[in-house]
Amino acid sequence: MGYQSSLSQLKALIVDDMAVQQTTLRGQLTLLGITDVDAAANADDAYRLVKSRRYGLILCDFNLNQKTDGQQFFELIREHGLLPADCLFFMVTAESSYISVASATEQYPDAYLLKPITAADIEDRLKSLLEKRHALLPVNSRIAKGELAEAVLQCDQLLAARNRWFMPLLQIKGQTLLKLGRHEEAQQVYKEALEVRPELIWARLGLARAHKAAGQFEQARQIAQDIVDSDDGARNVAAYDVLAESLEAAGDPEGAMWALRDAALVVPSARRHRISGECAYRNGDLDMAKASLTKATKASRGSVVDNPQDTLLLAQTLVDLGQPAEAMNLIRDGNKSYRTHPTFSQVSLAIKAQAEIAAGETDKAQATLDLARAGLSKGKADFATIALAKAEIVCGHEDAGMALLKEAISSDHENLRIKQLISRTLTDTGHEHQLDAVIESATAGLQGKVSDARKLLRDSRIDEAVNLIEAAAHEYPENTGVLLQACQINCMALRLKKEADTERVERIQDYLGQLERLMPGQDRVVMMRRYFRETLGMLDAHAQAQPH
Amino acid sequence: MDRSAALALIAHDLKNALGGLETELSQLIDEPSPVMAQRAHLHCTDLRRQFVQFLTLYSADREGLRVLCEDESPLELLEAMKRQWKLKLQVDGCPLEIAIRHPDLSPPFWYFDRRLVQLALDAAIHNATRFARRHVWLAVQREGEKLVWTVEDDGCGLGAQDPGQASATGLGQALAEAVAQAHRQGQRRGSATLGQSSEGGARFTLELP
Repeated sequence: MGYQSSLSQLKALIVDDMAVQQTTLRGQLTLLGITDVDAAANADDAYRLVKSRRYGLILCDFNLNQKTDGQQFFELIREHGLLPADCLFFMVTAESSYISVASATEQYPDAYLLKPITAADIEDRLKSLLEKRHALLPVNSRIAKGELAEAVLQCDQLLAARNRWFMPLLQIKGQTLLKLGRHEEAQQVYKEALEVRPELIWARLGLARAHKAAGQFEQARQIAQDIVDSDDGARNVAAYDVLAESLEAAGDPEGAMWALRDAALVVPSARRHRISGECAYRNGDLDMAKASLTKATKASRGSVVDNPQDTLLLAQTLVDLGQPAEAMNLIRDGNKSYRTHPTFSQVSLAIKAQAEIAAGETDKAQATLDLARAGLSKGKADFATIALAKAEIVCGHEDAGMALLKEAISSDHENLRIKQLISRTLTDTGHEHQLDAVIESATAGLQGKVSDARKLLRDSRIDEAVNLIEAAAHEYPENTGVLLQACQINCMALRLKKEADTERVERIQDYLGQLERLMPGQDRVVMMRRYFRETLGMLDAHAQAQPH
Repeated sequence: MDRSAALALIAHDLKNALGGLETELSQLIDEPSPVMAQRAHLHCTDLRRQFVQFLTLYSADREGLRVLCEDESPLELLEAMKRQWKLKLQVDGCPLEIAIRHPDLSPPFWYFDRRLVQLALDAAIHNATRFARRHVWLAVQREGEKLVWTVEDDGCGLGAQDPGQASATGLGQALAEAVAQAHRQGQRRGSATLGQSSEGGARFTLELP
């Protein structure tokens, strides 16, 4: 398809609060032959349009004079999967704010256009990006189909030409290798990019991620720290995230908390305040949690990036700080704003019961607790369960509270964040002596099942091993530690039996799908997927070696 | 002349150019004509470009220029600029030829701040078109570890009497130097120089690490 005809088929969306600017941009797009153009004056309207129509080009002003700016809108639609891979997103910024906007972004749009914009500016960028899209299509189409290993091979073929797209190809290859769990090769790719340009931030960040995936947390931390300490990387929030993840993985959750706090200072968006606030709460820094979550709620209330969980956690923080009246006000407002939200009112009841106890209204608290209980059938590894457990304990139902905490830990016994929350709950309610009984015993119970299954496997009692771990996975379907073991033991069973049992392969795929939903993008899942692929590869090789 | 005196002089020039545009617009009120309107529009665009250069230089003077380097195709940028300038010269009725020399010598990609390099080259091309007799040549190539951009004309070379604004060249050159200096790679920095072209005219060179 020719360049001009591909332009005429583009559906475009203009997001700008100024009607005059909308008209100007529309006129410029018409000059380029792009006539199917919608316009929105704010992020909320734009969000609705993006949900209902598929666009090939979005021109969005950074400053929308609303709570949600262009960058937040961009991140939101990307996060919600509403930005198809073939849609180009251009951020329009003023000359004066370009540097601060572009250097602090977490995710980059396809291009920045500086005001005032001419049709030629748009055309130049469109032309080069459409060329880039065309050049990278053989790779990206494979990635879109989930054929990651084939995408890497395709990258190698295209990289051999060492042409205009050499660096973007290296970047895609590195990311794809990381997704495949091939972190050793990813490291090599990033080092190759750094030979071309030693200060390249994406390559240094990729290298840090590859080290982290390999369990080399200190190297990962050092590289991420160097990036945030440099002039060019001081505002790179992705580097702060890698820094925080490395610190957390290395057993320094407090260090992670400070890194996330710094990231929220660099990019003071609702999302960054939320991440910082949640981490501060888990670490017991209630003042920081209150400050961050207050900013998050203020920055997002009533906008498309609004998240009811911010209000719930802030209310819980206020209760923990001994400010029950403020917490109750917040919950009252929240119940108006989130009337239609499926879980807000239920979770808020658990927090309200705690606030009522703190305010000395014991009878009211019991009644509220009764209502809160009605909404929870079985405890899970989530905030709602912990809040209800805390309500039970402070209302005097210690056994019910402990039982809920045990259910929470059993639901995901390797989840460090849930352990942190449970530990906080026990400490706050004066039950720190129960820590071992709750966490360790539930953890030990599950670890016992896992090690029994592994022992059976070692004794070549393969089917019994699989049955045992699958029963555990059935009982705790959201327990990531058990699911990972169920994958691994099933893979080992495939290897030992040397036959591609279709049902077993499908079951492993289901477990992996569930794991990806529960812990998206996490290294352990990536590595398990790699182990599964290698297992299938071995079975293939074995089948081919057999005489026909 | 120090930088602040140069900035003051440039601001003075910009004010005069704005006066010129004002006159063109008042003529348009008396005798509306699409050709004149297009010319006024072009002069307005040109003036805006100079204001952007001025402000960039001003901020460079105050807090240093920050560059955001991405991998870019140097040739693609030159081609885009050639297209824009051809159109501009055509509208102005200027018979100058603008061409790219040795496009095959351009490396496929290089890391630079496209916006700033475009500003610097734009200023250099602007100067070249004011002095050139018939031709302006653009080129970009790799020389060792450097990317070298050149803008040459077939005018009378350095020291020729300026046919237009007195300090426009000064603005362009000061801007190019600021842009070049802001591009760094380890200890190496860029540079911008104005010399004699083998064609007899002036040769502007922007070297980036």
